[in-house]
Amino acid sequence: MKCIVCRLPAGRKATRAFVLALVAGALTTAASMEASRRPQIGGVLRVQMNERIAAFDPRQWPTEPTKAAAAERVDSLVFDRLVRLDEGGTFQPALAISWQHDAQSKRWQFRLRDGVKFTDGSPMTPPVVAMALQQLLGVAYDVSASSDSVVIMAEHPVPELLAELATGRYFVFHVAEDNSLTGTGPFRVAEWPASGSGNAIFVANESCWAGRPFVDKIDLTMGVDFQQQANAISFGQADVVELPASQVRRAAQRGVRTASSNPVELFAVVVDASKPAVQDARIRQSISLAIDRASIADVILQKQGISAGGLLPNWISGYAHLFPATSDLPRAKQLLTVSGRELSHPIPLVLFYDSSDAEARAIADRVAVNLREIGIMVQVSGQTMDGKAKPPAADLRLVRSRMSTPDPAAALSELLNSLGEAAAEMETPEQIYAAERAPIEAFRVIPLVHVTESYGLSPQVRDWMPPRWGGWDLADVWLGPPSGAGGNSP
Amino acid sequence: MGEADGEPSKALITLSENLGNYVWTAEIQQGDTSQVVITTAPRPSQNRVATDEMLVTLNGLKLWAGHDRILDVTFVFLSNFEQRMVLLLGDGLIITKPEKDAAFRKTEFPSPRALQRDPIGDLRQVGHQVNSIVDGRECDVDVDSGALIGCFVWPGPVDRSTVEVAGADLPSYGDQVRNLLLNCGVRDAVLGAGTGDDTQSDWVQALKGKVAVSNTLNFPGPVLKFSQGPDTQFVSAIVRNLKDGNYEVYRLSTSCGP
Repeated sequence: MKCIVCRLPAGRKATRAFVLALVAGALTTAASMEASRRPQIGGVLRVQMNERIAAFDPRQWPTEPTKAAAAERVDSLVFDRLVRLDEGGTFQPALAISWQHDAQSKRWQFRLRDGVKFTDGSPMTPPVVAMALQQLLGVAYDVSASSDSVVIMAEHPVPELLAELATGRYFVFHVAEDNSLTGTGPFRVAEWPASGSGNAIFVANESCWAGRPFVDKIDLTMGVDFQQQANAISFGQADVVELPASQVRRAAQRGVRTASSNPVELFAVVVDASKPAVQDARIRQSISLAIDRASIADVILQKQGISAGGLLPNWISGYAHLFPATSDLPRAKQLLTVSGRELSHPIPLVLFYDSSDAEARAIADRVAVNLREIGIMVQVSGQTMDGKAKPPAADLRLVRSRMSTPDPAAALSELLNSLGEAAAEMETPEQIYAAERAPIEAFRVIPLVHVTESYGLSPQVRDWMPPRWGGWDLADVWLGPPSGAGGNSP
Repeated sequence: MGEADGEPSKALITLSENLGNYVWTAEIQQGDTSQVVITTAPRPSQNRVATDEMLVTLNGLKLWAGHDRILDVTFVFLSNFEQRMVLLLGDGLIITKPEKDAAFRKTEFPSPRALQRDPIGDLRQVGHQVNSIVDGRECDVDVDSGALIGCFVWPGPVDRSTVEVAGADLPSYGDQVRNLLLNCGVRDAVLGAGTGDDTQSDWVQALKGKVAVSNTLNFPGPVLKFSQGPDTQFVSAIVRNLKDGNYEVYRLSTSCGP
C-alpha cells in the first residue's frame, strides 16, 4: 500500500493533519479552519407544497402549467436529465457527458456518463435511456441506442432539442421488475401517498453519481393551502414552504426568511377575438390601454411582480422595452369612440379566471375596475381550470403561465402554448421577437405582469440556491443550527 | 436620422442584456412602417474587483473562470523553472500558465468514482510531480508532460461526520483565514473572508486581530477556499460566481501603503 503521509515534508503538520483527516474520512480539515461553513450531513427537510402530484412518473405529465411545475420539482428529486442548464443558461453535461448533431440539427447523439446506476442497482445503459426518452418524446422522434450513446432522430430540424431535454418531463427513468420507476437522482422514493394527499418520503441516494445529498430525508407534504403553509413556517413546523407573491412581504415582516426567483410567471388576458363584443381590434386595444399594470404589480402583488407589455420578461428576452406597458385612458376612450361605441352604452364582457387562484381573482377584479372607467362592464367569473377540461368560452380569460427555462425560444413556446397561440419557427432573435409580437399586436393576448416564484425558509435551511428560473435544488440544501435572526436570503 | 422616398426615418437604438447575451435593438421608423433589428452577443464573465484604500493594499487578479468545480489550486515550477497554475477538478487536473485566458491542458483521472456532493480536494507539488487527493483518492501527475502517473484509492468507507475545529477568534470577520506575510511593518496578519453563507457574495480583507489593515476585495460570490503555496507571498482564492455559476480563481497579493 502506498503511504502518502510518509513523504510529506517535515514540519507540515497542518497538511499532515489534513491528509490524516481524509484518511479517517472526515469532511473537514483541522488546519484549514473551514469547518464552520462546510455543509453538514443529515436531518429531515420538511417541505410543503400546494399542488398534489398523482405520481412521480414523467410519462404522466400534467398539462396545466402550475401542476407541471410542481411535478417537475418533485421528479427532479428522483430523476436526472441528459443535460442541464447552469446559472448562465448554458447547457451542461448531466447524464450525457457530451453531444453532437448534424448540420441540420435532425440527428443528435448523446454520449452517456459511465458507471451511473439507478437506485434499484441496475446500470444506466443506452438501451434503457433510449426506451425512456422514446416514451417521452413520442413518435415524432426515433430514439436508438449504440454502445455508449443514444441517438435521437427527427424528421424536421430540432435546434431547440437541448433546451427541450434540459427542462420539463424529459427525465431518464427505469421501470423496475415490480413496475415501479427508479431514477439516478439524489433521492429515492421511500413512501408515496396512494391517494395523492398526505406525505411523500424521499431518502438520500447514497450512491448518486453527482454525490450524496446532504439531508438524509425529505418529508414532502402535498395539498397544503398557502395559508396553512404560512402558518407552518411561522411556527417552525416546516423548513420550506411556497409563498404566493402577494404574501412574500407579509411573511418577511413576520421574520420569515424568504427567497424569490427571477420573474417566471406571466399573468395575461386572452381575448377571444371571435366573440362579437371584441371582434373590433380597436376595442381590444382599448382594453389593453385601460389596464393599470403598475397597480397590479405594486399593490396586489406587493412589488413581487413587474408590469409586462411583452410575453417574455426582460431577463430572458433582453428586448422587453419594445413592448410598452403603460396605460393611457384618454387614448383608450378615444379608440372606443372611433369604433362607434358610446360611453353611455357600456359594452358587457365576461372575464373568466381560475377560481382556485386567489391572486387571479384579485387581478381579475382590478381589470374589471379599470375597464369600467372606459365604459366596458366586465362580469368576473371564477372557473375551474385544471387543464383537463377545455377552457371555458368567454370574451376574456385571465391566464397564469409559467416559464421553466431561460432559453428565449423555449420559454416563448411554453407561453404561446399555454395561451392557445401557435408557435412559429424561432431560431434568430428577430424570429423570436416576431412570434412574440404577433398575438400582442393583434391584441389577442394582453400581457399584464411577470411574477416571481417565492419560498419561505426556516432558519435551519442552508445553501438555498435554486435556479433563477424557479424550482428548487434540494440535493444541495443542508440543515444547520438555527441562525437566530431572520433576514432575507439569498 | 435619414430620409428615403421623401419620408423621414428615425432609429432608436437600445443596448440591453438578457441572461446570456448583450442585446442590441434598433427600432427603425419610416413613415407608417417600422422595423426592428435585434443583434445579440455573448456576455463575457465578470472580472472586476473593487478596492478601497488603506494601510496595506490587497490586490486580486482573476486567473481562471470556468463551469467545472475547482477543488484546489496551486502553483508549480516545471523543470525549466517556468511557473504553471494547477487546478484540481473532481475528475482531473488542469495545468495552465498563470495568466487569464491562457491555453490549458487537462489530465483526466480514470473512471472517477461517485464524489461527495461537496468534495474536498488538495494539491501539492512533490518533486516533478503534482500530487492530488479528492475524497480519498490520490493521483500523481507529471508536471512537465501532464501525463498521469497513477492513482490510488484509500480503502474503507467515507465517514460523513462533520468535525468542528477551533478557528481563529474572528467570528465577525468570517471563517476562513490564512497566515499572510506582510512586509509592511504589520505582523501576524491574516486574511478573513466570508459571511459563512454560500448564497452570499464574500469579501476578503487583511486583518490583524480584529483590526482591518487593508482594503476590502469584493468578490462576485462566496470564497470557497483559500490555497497557499509553499511560499506565503500570495494566496489564491477559489470563488463561485453567483451571477453565472462559474468557478473562479483569484491570486491575492499585498503591497505596502495605500
